[in-house]
Amino acid sequence: MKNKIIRIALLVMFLISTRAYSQEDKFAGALTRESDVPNYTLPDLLTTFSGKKITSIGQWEKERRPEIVKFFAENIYGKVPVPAETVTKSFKLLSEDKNFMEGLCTRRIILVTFSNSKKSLDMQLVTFVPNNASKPVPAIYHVNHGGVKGGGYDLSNSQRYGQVNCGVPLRQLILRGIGLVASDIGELIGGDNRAELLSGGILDLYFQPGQTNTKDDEWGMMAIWSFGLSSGMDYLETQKEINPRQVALMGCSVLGKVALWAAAQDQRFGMVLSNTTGHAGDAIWRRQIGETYDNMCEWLPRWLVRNAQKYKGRVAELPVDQHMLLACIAPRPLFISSGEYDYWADGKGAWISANHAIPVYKMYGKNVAFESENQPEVNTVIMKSAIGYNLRTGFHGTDQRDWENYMKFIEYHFMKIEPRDAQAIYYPEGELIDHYPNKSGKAVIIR
Amino acid sequence: MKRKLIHLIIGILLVSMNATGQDKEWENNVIYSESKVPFYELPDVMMTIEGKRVTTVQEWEQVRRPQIMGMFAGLIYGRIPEPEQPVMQVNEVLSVDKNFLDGKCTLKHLLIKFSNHRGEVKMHMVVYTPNNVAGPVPTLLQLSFSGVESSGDIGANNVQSYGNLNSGLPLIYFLNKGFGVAIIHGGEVVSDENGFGGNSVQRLYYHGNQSLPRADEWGVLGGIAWQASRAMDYLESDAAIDKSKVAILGFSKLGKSALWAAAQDTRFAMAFSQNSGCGGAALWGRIYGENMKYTFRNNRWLCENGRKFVGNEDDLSVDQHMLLAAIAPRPVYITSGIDDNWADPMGEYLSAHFATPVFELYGLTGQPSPERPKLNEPSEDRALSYVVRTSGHGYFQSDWDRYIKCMEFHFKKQGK
Repeated sequence: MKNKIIRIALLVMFLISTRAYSQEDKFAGALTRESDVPNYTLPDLLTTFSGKKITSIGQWEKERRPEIVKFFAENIYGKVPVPAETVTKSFKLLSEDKNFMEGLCTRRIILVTFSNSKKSLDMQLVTFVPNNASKPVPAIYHVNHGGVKGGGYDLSNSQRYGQVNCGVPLRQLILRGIGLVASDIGELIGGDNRAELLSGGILDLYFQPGQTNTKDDEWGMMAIWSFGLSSGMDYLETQKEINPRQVALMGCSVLGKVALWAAAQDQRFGMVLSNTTGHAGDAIWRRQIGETYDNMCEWLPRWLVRNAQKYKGRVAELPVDQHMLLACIAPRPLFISSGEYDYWADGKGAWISANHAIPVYKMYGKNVAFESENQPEVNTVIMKSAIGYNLRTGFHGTDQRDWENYMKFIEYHFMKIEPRDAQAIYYPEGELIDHYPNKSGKAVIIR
Repeated sequence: MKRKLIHLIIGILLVSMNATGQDKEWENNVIYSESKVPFYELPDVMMTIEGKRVTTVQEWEQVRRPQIMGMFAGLIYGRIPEPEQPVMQVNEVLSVDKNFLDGKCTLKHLLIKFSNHRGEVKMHMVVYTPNNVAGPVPTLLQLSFSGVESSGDIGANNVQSYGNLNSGLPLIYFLNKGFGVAIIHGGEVVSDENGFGGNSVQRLYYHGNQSLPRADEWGVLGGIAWQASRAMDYLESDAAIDKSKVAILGFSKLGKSALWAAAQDTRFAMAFSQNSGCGGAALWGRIYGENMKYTFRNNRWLCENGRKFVGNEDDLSVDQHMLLAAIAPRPVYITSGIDDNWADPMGEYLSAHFATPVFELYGLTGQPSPERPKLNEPSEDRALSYVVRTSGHGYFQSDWDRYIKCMEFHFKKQGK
C-alpha cells in the first residue's frame, strides 16, 4: 500500500516534471493554415487607451509611446523594479587581444559586475572591433545567453574560417567595417533554467527585504535578459571604438523577442534585426497561428511577467498587440526575417505586424517600402526601407543569408553606402583574395 | 577498480587532447594561401596512357574512362574484391507510414541485410515518396551522417520547421516539387574505420586468412560508395521511384563517397557534392587544406596503395578532376563554401574546370572559365555546375534550394 502511494506520487511528479519539458505536447494542436485565423481587430496604434487620437510625433512620444511601453512592461514582459538598495554596475577589462583573427580586429572581454550589499553577480561581455577603423564603427549586438564564457566567440576551425564557434560570420563583419558585441545574459538568471518560477541571479539584488518571489508586474525572463542587454549598452557608452548609437540588436527566436523588447524600452539601441522571433516578438498574437498567447502562458510562464496570466484565454481583450511593440522601435531601422515553414513563429503574422507599425514610421518621415498587405514572394528581400523584410525558404533559425541581409542593412542605414554583396567583400576592387594559380606565377600546365 | 578509473581518466584526457590537438594541427603546417600552393601539373584527362589524345565520345568511353576508373580503383579508393561466396541482399521492410507529414508522403523504413558465410552486415534506409504525384518520381539519395536506424531519426520536425527532417534535410521542399528522398546512414556498414571489424562490409569479401583489405582493395570511402549502390539496388525495385532519375548527394566525407559512387555506378543519374574537398571534388596536387597526409593519418578512408603518395602527390597519375569527368555526361553539381578552407574551395573549382573538356566532348556545358564564378552565383543549368557560396562547412537551405533547382532543370529537360 505504502509502496503504491509512493509509486503514484513518483508517477505524478514525473508527469508534472515532463509536462514542462515535452516539446511535442507544447506544439500539439498548433494552427498552421491561413483559414484557421479567427476574425480579429487589432488595437489601434494611434488611439490612446483613453481614446485620444494621436496625430503628431510629439503626442506619440509624450503620450502614446510611454503608455504602450508601460503596458508591455507591466503586463507582458515585466518591469525592472527599483531595488531597496542601489545596484551598481562596474566594468573591468578581463582580456584584450589586438591581434585577433590575423590582426584584423581587436577582441576584448569585459566583466560586467552588478552588486550591492546583498551580493555581486558577473556577466561577461565581448567586443570585436576592426583594427583599421578610423572612426567609431557600427556593431551587431548578438543576443546570446552564455556564449562568451562558453567559447562561442572563439574562432572556429579552418572548416569555418573566420567564423566564431556560435556561427557569427565575424570575418565578413570586420571586413565590412562592422563590429560585434555579445554578452552572457543567461548569467543573470539563477536556478534551473527550465523551472516555472524565476529565482536567484539578478533578482536577489533587486528584491525588497523579505521578498522571495517576483511581484505580479516585475521581471519575466525576457525582462531580465533585456536588462542584461541594456547593461551591455551601459558599457558600450563608456568606450570609443564602437559607436553606441549604431548598435543593432540581433536575436533569433526567444533571443530575438528579447532584442525587440530591449530596443522598445531602451532607445539607445539604434536598430533591431529580428530573426524568426514570432510571438512576443514580431508576430501578431491575435492571429493564433503557431504559438499562441495561451500556449506561452501555459508552457513558458516564466518567459513573461506573472500579470501576463491575466490575459490567458482573453487575448482579444489585450489592449496591445505586437505591431505596437514594433512601432515603439520607430524611427529606428528594423529588419524582420522569417522562415517559410516556421509556422510556430507565424511569418505572415510578422509581416502584418510590421505593416501595422508603418504609420509611426511614416509620422517620423521614414520610408517603408512595403507595397501591400500581401507578403512578398519567398526569398524577396526588402532592403532599402526603414523596415527591412525577408521571408526566405527554410525554417526556424538563423541562415547565412540572414547575416548577409543584416550586414547590408547596416551598410545602408548606418554606413550610408550602397549595400555590398559578399563578392565585393571577399574580392575587393575586383581583385580576388583567392586567385587563379596562373596569376601568381605558379603555373598550372596540363601535360 | 582504482586502476580502471585511472585508465579511464587517462583515456578521457587523451581523447580531449586529441580533439583540441586536431584543431591546432589543422591550423599549422597546412596550406591555406594560394601563394603557398606548390607548382603542380595535372594529368591530362584527355590523354590516354598510351599517349593518344581522346577526340571522340567512343574513345573516351572505351579507352580513357576505363583507364581512369582503373587508376582510381587501384590507387585511390580501392577496388571491390570478388567475395569467396556471393553476398546475399535481403530488403526487409520495418515499417510503412502512408500518411507521413499530414499525408503528404509515404515513408518506408527498411533494414537491408547482407550476408555470406563470413557473417552478416546490416544497413538501414528510409524512403519518402510524395503521395499526390502519379507515377514514379525522381529521387534524391542522400548519404547522411545522421542515423536512419530508429524511428526517431527518420521523423520530421515540428511546426517550427515544418517538414524538415530531424536529420536536417528539408523534405517538404522536395515533396513540393514532386521529388522523393531516400536516405542511408553513410558509413553504417563501415563501422570501424581502421580494422574493418564489427558491422563492416569489407570482411564479407575477405579471402582465406585475410584480416584487412589488401593494398588495392576498398577502404572506408569505397565501402560507403558500395552502400550507395546497394541502396540503388533497392530503389530500382521500388515502383514509386523513377530509377532513371536518382541523384546522389553527400556532404564532406560522404561527398567524397558520393562522387566515387556516381563514377562507378552509372545508374546514378546525377551527383551532388557538398563541401567534399580533398578526396572528393578538390585536387590532390594543390596540397591545400586537408591533403593526402591528413586523409591517411588516422584511418583507412582510401586504399593502402594511396599512402605512397603522401608527400609525393606529383607522382600521382590521376587527380580528382578525372573523377568528375568520369561521371560525365551525367550532371554534377559541386558546392563550395568560401570559408571552408579545409576543403579547398578553389581546388574544387579547378577540378570542375579541368573536367570540363570531357563534358564538352559530349556537347555539354561545364566550367570553361579559368576564373571561378562570383560568390553566390549559381549555375544549375549546366551539366557540370559549380557554386561557391558564403559561409563554411555545412548544409544551408540555399544549398538545398540549388540542388532542387538542378533536379528540376535536368530531370524535366530529359522529359518523362
